[in-house]
Amino acid sequence: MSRKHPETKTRSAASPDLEAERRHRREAVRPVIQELKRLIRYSELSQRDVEQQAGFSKGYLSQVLGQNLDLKMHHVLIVLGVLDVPPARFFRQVFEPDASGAPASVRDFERRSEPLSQNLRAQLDTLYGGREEVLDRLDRRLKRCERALDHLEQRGILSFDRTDGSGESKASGERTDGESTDEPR
Amino acid sequence: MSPAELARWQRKIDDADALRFRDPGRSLHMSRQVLEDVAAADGAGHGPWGRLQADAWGTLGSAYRAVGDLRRAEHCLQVALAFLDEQSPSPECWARFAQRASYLRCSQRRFAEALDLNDDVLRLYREQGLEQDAVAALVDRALFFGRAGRTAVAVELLERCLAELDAEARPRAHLAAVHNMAYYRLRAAGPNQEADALAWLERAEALHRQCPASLAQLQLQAMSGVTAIRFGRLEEGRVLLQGAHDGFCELQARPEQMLSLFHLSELYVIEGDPTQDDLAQRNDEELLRLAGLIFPLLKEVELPRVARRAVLRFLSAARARRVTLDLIHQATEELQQMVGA
Repeated sequence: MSRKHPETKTRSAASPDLEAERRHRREAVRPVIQELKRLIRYSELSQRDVEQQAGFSKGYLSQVLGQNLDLKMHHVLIVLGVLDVPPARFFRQVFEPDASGAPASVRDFERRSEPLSQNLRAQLDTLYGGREEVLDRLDRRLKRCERALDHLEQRGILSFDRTDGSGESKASGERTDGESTDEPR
Repeated sequence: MSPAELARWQRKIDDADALRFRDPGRSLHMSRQVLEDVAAADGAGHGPWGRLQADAWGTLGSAYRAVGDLRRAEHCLQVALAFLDEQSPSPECWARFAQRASYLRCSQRRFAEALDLNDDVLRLYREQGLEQDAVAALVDRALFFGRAGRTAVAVELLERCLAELDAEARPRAHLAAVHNMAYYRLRAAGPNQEADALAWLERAEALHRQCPASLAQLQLQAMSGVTAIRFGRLEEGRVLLQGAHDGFCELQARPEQMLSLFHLSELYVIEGDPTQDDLAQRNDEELLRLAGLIFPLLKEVELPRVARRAVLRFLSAARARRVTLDLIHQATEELQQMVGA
């Protein structure tokens, strides 16, 4: 016994509720349709080829993709079979959108781009890695200065007043050989 | 990084990007410099700093595309994308990136991917209520169709865009729409349609005078030259094409330079009269000279395989002194899809 879809009965004079329900359903299915359209466009096949290989009659697929006919699960699975796309991947793409908010076409762009060249990697290292290297170099130089000052202090050439509690070293103001400064440099 | 500093960097990036329409070679140079400066800016790792890097890399990618180095352009856009990914950017940022990426895919003649990116650009702009940006993206769509050889669809879309576009708010998109309309009309003009095409050309030239963009002007000049040749005004065509070619050389617009050399070659085949030995010999020598100018450009312009093959066939025919109009047309058709208007 065949059971008619309620929508077919009421299509001619749909109540506002049913009309809203139908609109809601169409909206819910739209991402699936869009993804199917995108896959067909990317494939080597034309929409007509897909239609033929799926065993649909002429114009049927465009009616389904244009949402003039209801999309059924077996339509999706048959088209995915023709396009050789695993259903799991398809539904993940539709229902688990990119967390960063990037559109699917941008992710496709990324996937379909060539890997970065060695030259560019080297350039990136120079541009961005160089910053850390400069800081490291500066840090090493400061440590060398500190060691040199410690050494001078140990030899009694310089002395520091470390009693102000600020944690900063201060020179005592002794003159060093040949220098007129009262600050350690 | 202070807001003032950020605005200063952003202005530099925008200037380099805008220069691409007038002088691709200088834009590339400036984009490289700005990128180096921006990479050294304070505030590494913070949101605004990352967005600035993404913008600078995107601009450099577009500059590489404009001079025909599509491989480097793709690499730069990937780096820009990596920076964007770290920032959780706004939908508008994604739309701008997708727009740049779509131009590259179009130059690579991967039209399906360009249109797919354009779908998302249109959707994102409309979702954000940026209607004029969406119309400008529709102009892009028309140009993608135009380059893919579907001129009728392109013209139809451009007519729609011109009706919806606010010329004052989006002068560049408006110029692009009128310019390309003129270009398509000139290209397709039959004997009774020249007046209509010339009217569009005048309209485009008037806009160019208000909003200088020398590369696009030179492209129109080259197309006027090609049209003049088609209608039998060979000398006028030669002068226009030679002038456009010299301009492309100055701007380092290599793909356009190559295309104009092919158009010039056409002249020497049309003029060739096999019954006059002197003329035939002179034209063969001219063709060989032009082939000599095209050959080094092969190294600088990254051509799709089919286009490259067409160019190589022309070069070997020039050496064998057997160039035909058919060979030139094959090459120009392929290059036209890459360069566009």
